[in-house]
Amino acid sequence: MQQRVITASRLQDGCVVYWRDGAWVLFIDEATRFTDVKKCEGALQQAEEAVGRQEVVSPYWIEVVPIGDDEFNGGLASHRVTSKWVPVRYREVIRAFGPSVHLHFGKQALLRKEDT
Amino acid sequence: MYRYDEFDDKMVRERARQFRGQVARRLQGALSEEEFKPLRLMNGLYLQLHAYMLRVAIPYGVLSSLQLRQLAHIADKYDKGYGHFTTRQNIQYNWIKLEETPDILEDLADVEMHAIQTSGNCIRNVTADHFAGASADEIDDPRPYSELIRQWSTFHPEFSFLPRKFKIAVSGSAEDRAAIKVHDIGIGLVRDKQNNVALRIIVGGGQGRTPYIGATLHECLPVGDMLDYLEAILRVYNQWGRRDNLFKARIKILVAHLGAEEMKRRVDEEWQRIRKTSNRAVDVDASMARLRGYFTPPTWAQVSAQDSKEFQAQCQKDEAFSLWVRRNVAAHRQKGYAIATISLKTPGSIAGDATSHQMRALADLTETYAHDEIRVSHEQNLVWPHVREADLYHLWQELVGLDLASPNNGLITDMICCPGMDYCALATARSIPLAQRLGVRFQDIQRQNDIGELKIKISGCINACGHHHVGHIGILGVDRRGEEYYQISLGGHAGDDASLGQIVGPAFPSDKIVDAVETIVATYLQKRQGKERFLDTWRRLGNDVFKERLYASD
Ligand code: SF4
Repeated sequence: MQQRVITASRLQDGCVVYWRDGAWVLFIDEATRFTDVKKCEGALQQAEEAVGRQEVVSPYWIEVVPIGDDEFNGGLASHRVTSKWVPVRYREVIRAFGPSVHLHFGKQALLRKEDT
Repeated sequence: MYRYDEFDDKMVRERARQFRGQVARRLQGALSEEEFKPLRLMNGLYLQLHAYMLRVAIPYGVLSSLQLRQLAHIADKYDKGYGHFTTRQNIQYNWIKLEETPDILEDLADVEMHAIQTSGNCIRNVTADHFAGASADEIDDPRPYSELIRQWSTFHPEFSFLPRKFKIAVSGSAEDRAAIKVHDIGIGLVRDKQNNVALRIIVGGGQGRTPYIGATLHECLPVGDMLDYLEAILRVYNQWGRRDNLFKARIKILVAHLGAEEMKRRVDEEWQRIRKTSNRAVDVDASMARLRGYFTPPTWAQVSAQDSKEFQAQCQKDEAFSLWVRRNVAAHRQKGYAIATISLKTPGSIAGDATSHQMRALADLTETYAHDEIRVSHEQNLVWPHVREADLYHLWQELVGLDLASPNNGLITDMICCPGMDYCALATARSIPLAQRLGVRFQDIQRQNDIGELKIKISGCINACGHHHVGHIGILGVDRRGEEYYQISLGGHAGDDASLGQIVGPAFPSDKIVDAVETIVATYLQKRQGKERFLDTWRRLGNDVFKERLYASD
């Protein structure tokens, strides 16, 4: 089942962040998920106001699926992280977790419990 | 090497100060992102997938040990301990914070470096042959020409808002190592009938969405006319280049639209107009004479017959060293000296990446053994242009310890590869993991040597930063309904006999692409005649035979 979350890049450092009830969080699992398109659009409007407050740049929504969903394309395995929700598009998987070629950089370094 | 004068120094320091103010105003909200974006791009700062990316200019790829050490310092202090050398002879840092960028620009200014003209619709950092001033086949050193173009183009008010970015490359040798035919302007140094150095001017080459091989507008331009002629080309482009469509704005589209003859007519007309004016900005001959002074050859050491004997003995004694010398060492014009290519393509590693530890160690070796000069090649390797043959064995041993001694220069694992979707916001697919898989598949050095010269070039999107159009095997990453696919073209080449690759057929999914390259290589090995290189065989046979094998089971 696909849901939406809102993402942006933090102004100061370009770090990927997600919208959670009026604030920005680092991890996709902590983001507010929307099943209702209207609610998502309303939240996106609020998120855009954060641009004016110099918090973030270019907010937009993305689709996420719970891990294990058939539509998921296997990105998580290549990033070796544990997460309950993952983006549908691989570009967003990379944003959410980090570069697939530098597994010790990006969010994946913080999310990985044990480097196996 | 060129050294900054007081004006250069003042300029880069003022620029850093100015950017500090702009960043502060952005963070305080006095500048919107819309207002700020062009300002940060003018300082080489992009917003990418994970962070800001800073692209630092390395004019015509030349670095001193001091500069390389500073690049290592920046990698450690502001990034994650590494940098990525690009196909434009620049370095990129992938994990930069906006608020720290002004400090980085100041650190760069301390060693006569900056990030100006590495982005935006201006004349970008000029690139040149990485063997400049060293190669045995050189007509003239391209560095003074490149430096003069850099000085002329930096902040040139007329050319700061061109229809699109503009790239100039200069080659000084018979063999084109600077890919001058696929640049907006390519300059090849030639000799005129009186044996004076002159310029061959090629215009309208380029890669990206619509690739073109450039057209020669002037076969033999006197050096004294260089800037007037460039100015004329830029003016024609500025006036007639399209600004209404981003994809049609490069000069290559204008040249293709007008035709080379009409383009030449317009340029010549403008050139004559410029020549008639009394206020031509620069006396090229005088400037060249001044700049040549910065690029005089180093003081060569005395080389004894014993040195040479020892070098030969080392080659005979150590097969691995000998292999490296055969592939990575090129003939120097000075007896007893050599040009050494430092491979940033250890199979399985990331093409063009160097850690701060590697940079520092190379800086030390450069200072001690290489007349304090190291180059970045557009093929994403590093080069020592002047090393004594007698020092090569020691240098090679040091490179082995640094994991920088792959004897693969020009071989199948010496791939050009752009950052792709792992870092780049514009990407449609990843390119680095594919290059890594290919590197591992073909890592056997004996096999690589058996295959011989074969250049694979990989781009993660149609912008072609990985030069896939001029790869003997070019690979373009595309997105097919959310899946990574890779389209292969064959027969591209960036040298003097440049050609654009031809797409061989439908793209391959990620799990089939390495085998597809294997099939191409196997087909070549089976079909090659005598000493044919891959490119020769392809030029003789075309795509068909490769296509048959690749899609046999479809
Ligand atoms: S070719 Fe595309 S993916 Fe690769 S670096 Fe250039 S813009 Fe990015």
